[in-house]
Amino acid sequence: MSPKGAAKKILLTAALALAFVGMGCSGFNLEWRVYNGEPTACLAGVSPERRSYLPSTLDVPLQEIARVKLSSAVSQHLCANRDFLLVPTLDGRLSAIDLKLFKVITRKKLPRASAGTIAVTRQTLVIAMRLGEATLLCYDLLEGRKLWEVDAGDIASEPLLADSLVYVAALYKHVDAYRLQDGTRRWQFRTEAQFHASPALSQGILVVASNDGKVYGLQALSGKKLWEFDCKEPVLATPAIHRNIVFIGTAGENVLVLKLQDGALLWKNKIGAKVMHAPAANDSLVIWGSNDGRVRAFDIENGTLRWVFRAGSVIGTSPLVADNLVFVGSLDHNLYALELRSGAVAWQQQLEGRVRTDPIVVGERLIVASEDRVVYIFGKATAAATQ
Amino acid sequence: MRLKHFFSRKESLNRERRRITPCASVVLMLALLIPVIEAPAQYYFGRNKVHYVNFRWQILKTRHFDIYFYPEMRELAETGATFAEEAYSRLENQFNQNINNRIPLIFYSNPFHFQQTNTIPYLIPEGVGGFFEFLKGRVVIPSDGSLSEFRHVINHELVHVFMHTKVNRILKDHKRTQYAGPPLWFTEGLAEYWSEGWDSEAEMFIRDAVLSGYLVPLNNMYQIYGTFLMYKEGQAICKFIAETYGEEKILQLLENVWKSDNFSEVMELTLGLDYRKFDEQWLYHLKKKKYPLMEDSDAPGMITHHVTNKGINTKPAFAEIGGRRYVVFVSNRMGYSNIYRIPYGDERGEKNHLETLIEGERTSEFEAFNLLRSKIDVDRQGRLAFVSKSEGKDALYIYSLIEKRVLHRHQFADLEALYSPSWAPAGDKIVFSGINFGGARDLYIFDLATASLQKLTNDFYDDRDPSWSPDGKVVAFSSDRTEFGRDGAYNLFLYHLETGAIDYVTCGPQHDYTPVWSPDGSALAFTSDRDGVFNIWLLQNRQAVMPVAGNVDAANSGAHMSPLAQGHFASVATLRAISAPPHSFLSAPRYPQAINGAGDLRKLTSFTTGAFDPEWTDNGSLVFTAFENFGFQIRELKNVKDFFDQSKLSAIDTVQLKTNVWAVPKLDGEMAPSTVSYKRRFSLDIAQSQITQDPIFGSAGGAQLAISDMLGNEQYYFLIFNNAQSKDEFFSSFNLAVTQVDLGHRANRALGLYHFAGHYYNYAEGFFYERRYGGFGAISYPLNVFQRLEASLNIRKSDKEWEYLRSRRALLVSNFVSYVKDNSLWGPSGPLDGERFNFTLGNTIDVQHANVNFYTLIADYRRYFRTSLRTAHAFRLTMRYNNGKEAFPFFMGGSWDLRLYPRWQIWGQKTFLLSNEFRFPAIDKFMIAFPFGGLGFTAIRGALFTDVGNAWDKHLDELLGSAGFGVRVRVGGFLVLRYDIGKRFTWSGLDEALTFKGLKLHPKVHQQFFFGWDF
Repeated sequence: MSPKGAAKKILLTAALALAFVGMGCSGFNLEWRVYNGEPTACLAGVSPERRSYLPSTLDVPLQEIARVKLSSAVSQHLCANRDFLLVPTLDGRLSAIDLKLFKVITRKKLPRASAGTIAVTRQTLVIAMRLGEATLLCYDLLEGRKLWEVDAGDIASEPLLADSLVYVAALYKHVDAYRLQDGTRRWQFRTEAQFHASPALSQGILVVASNDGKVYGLQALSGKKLWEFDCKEPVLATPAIHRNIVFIGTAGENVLVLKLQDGALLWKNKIGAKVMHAPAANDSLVIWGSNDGRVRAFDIENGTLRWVFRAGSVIGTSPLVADNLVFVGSLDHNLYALELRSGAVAWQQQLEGRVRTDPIVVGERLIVASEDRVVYIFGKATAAATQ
Repeated sequence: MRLKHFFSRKESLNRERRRITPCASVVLMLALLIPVIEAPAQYYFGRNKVHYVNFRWQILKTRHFDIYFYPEMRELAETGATFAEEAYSRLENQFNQNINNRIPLIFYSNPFHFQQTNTIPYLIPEGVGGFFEFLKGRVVIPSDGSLSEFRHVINHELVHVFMHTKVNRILKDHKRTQYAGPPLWFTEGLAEYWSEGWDSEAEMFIRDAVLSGYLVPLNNMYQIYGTFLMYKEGQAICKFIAETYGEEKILQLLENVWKSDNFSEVMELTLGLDYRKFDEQWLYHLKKKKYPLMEDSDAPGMITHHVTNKGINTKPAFAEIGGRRYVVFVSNRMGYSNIYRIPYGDERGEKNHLETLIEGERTSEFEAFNLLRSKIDVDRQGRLAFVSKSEGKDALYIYSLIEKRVLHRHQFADLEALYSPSWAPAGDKIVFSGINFGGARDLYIFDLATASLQKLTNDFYDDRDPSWSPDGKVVAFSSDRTEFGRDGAYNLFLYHLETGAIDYVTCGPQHDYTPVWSPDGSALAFTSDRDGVFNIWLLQNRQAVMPVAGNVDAANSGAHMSPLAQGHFASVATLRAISAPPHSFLSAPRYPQAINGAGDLRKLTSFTTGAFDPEWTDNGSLVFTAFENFGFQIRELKNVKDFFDQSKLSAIDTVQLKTNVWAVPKLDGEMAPSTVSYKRRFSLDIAQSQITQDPIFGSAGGAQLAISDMLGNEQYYFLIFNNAQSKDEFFSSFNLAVTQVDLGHRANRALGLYHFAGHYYNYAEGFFYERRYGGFGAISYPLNVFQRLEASLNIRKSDKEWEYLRSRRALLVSNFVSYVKDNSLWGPSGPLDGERFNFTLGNTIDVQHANVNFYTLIADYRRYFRTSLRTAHAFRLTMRYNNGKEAFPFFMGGSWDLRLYPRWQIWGQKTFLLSNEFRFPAIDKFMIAFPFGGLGFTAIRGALFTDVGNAWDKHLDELLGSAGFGVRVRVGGFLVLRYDIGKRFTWSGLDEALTFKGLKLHPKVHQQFFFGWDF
């Protein structure tokens, strides 16, 4: 270990020690050890664009390295870096799992034991609560102390952290931007309908979609409405953005593609099943999973259907594109790795419960949770395992 | 649970639930016999679930379902499999949820087979269309001949399955297992809404509720808990939510159920409105929608002549006998379904001349009249044709209205359910629709002279409501055999008896039911919902009619179009204003047809609610059933011609030669099902443990569990507990029992082994220790629904020790035989009509030491005399007699028998009890409003009673009596709280009592509070 690294570790240890001391002073203390100061893959959808794309060298087949049992089913999204994994569970707890020891380091109850969603940037953890009074909370991961909390209304979507702002779309029919530093509200955009879809951000435009099917393009810094598009059917799935294109899946069984700059409709396809999750997109394909158990890949440019994969039941997660593979989970208990080009199954693993938590890739590891309260960690298969 | 119609109120369900099935009575009888016979004789009655058929069960395995069926209904089961898989795909998408386990679907081909199911112990009332039983996750569904209804019920119950799975998962994930989940109005309303959307039946009920002013706001829904009205209001609320706030809000209501144990709060979190605010919006919306209907429509009672006003009355038939004219109809005005007649045209006929012709629901001859499904008909000779369930299946009855007796009774080997008989003009034949063993409903003609049966149609389409034309050559009927039948539409057809050809009469996406010919054969009156709710329409033959594309042309040429034979039609129905120009006609069809304007089809009535079952009288009027103010009444529409001429709405149906008539695709390819034989595999029904602490008997702990197979035919009960007071007693104090109950056959059987040991106490013997172990067998054979024979044999070793002073050893053999009858009709707190009888004879003998030898005789007779619709005089005479060596004592006293005396503290080897009670309604609705919600009691009943009786061993010294007043409050549908107050009296001997002398009235006022149903 280099002297610099040693010093850093000492500092971190000291910070943790302080955090322990501060346990009695804070209502919510984080007491896990943070090995690496900057976690990765800590936004739902990987990036603010929510396009669930990740360059990766991960290859299949994979084998299960470890599984960790939790107190309840896991929320839609996990957050990890190479050393630890943050897991919000639906019983209103937040657990930290050591990815070297493969065990829960600590487990904390969230306020009112209500389920929450998380986002992490650098050393800051933001938790958005589905129910409660102070529904947006911010913690310092290193110091383990609460930085601020605000009443943002019940939030059923994932917060978005970008440019020192926290964006949340609340059930109480508004989208807010808060300063990450102190929780001061920067702006608020009110609508006529609730939000279940999370906001997505690209090129300074925040895209939000409300339950009544309205999609809004907002100026990220001011909240000013730039454009509005009416899908005329409910939108519950988080929009994704790539290359000036917004991808929308609706509960009215359509997928639409809009121009980021003005919200103009580029193409629309009827797929015949509800879309409940954000798509994944690379430069040429956009991939949606839907409630009829199908994963469909469309040509971004013109909406041509490139391939369809059919799972045994409802697609329960957003697809994740990791280089040439698409990882997706289904309520049929399977985690699938599909070939990006053809949709053929490259690898699949049956888990013990329904898969409703988006898979994430951290380095050479694939992490996913199933409804039976288990987090699975997969890694490269050994030769013996492969055989 | 899917309730098919509004007779299926929870009240009727509860009525049945209280009745003990044979299997239960076998178990309970043993429970009575093993220890001393001390439990009050409340439970040894009950109607029987008779298993007339030994089904050969098989399993059709599809992708998501295990479908249990019997080979005779294979085609129907395969159709149901398609419906189930279609529903699964739809609901998986809709709920964003799947089902982890294979779903057991148990199909029956008709309602009567369904009523024999052992998947639930209760008797299933007529109106239950299916249910989801969540312990084993079973869905149990009968067909009633209609595939669209079959599909609807499958969808309805699968909505329950998905909802149950989703809500349980959400509550479990959020660790909210103590939360109750969505309320019944929501679960049933959603099951209806997501299975059939909105239909004319729902529209009729909600219109009536709004316009008659009895719609119950959501905030007061507890007042109609479990009723059919609650189902329909729930459906209307879900529709309103979907249309106003979006369909996804319904799903979000389920997904938010973890957020509060108060569904009003869940609604507020999801919709932004709690119950009160929601009510404001919903009620306003309904009023705005429904009130304007009064502009062009009428309430049936306002513009038609009243034939009946009281109770529920349906299926009128006109009869002329010896110059006197009558309306014959079916009614449950007194609780039981009976067939009545009243003079036609007599303004006060119902009040002064109502005559009960046939009493139903009391005997195995007339078990049920199928009140809402089957019409009745009277021929010119005054013979009434009707169907009634009898001994497990329907029978066709011919009843002479002149002689007032049944002339003929016919049951048919392959026909299970029969509907709507219609006389041939010559009176020699009857056409009716019937469901065969496999579940298909077709038309049949029964020839009275030869007692032969001719099948007219033979397919999976649902053919119903036949009506024989006055010229005797055609039969008009309703069927789903148009292309629209795929979506549940019914249209009218003519069956040509000479050629067997079938012609369209109407064609469109509506429901056209119950056609009936005018006396001259020139018109057909029928009921149709083609403009939203059911009204009576009249199709009048035209003088000049042009050939209709393919159809009429073919009809006139004799080469009739048969959808079955040719199957190439697509249809369009149109409504037009009456002022639309008439078509030109080239030739006249022989019978009324609405196709392409061949006949003049006009809406005869324009009721806000609904009209059904039209029937012509001899003066050109129509009598019919009208729905209004949440009831069905017989009404008369006079001056039909005027109504026809003034009609504002007419319709033209069209048929074009285009596409195939519909068929249900079979599952194939990777979805193709496989079939396996049914093998009994057992799974858990109940498991519970208990620890008790008693200051005298100390502590005891134990557990019991019950397992059964998927069809509930074989059940095992296990009991284990230990009541040792010290370590030394541990092994000798194990109490074990295992019972096997076989319900798969008509004769229900039970076998068991047991070992009981412990310290006991009863008032007669004081404290004693007894160890007994042995085995028993019992059999219960139902003679019919109302009567059964029971027998049991119990062999056990019994060693007793009284306070270490005396001991007795015995090898006891007990034999009992019983005859039980029960045709009682229940009100909210107990029987109001009918009779119940139990006669039991037995002996118990010590075959080893001759220490015990006694005989038992029990006779218990109860009779209920209805004094009005809701009042009754109840009579009970019970005699129990044990005689011989160490005969067990009987116990009495308390709220269940000799009232106002201490509970079970009067005992003797002989007892008698005479009770008289007048039962009457006290308060129908009693509501208490709390800030957090309401509490409602919907049936508080009163009773005036007097009891006389006593128990004795050798001599009856005195008679004990009591008289007083009681109040009964039904709580939650399963419990009745009882409060009695009054005085005791005594007679010093039987002679004094018989001469009404020596009565001693005790001054003290006694009162008792307990629970239990009235005797």
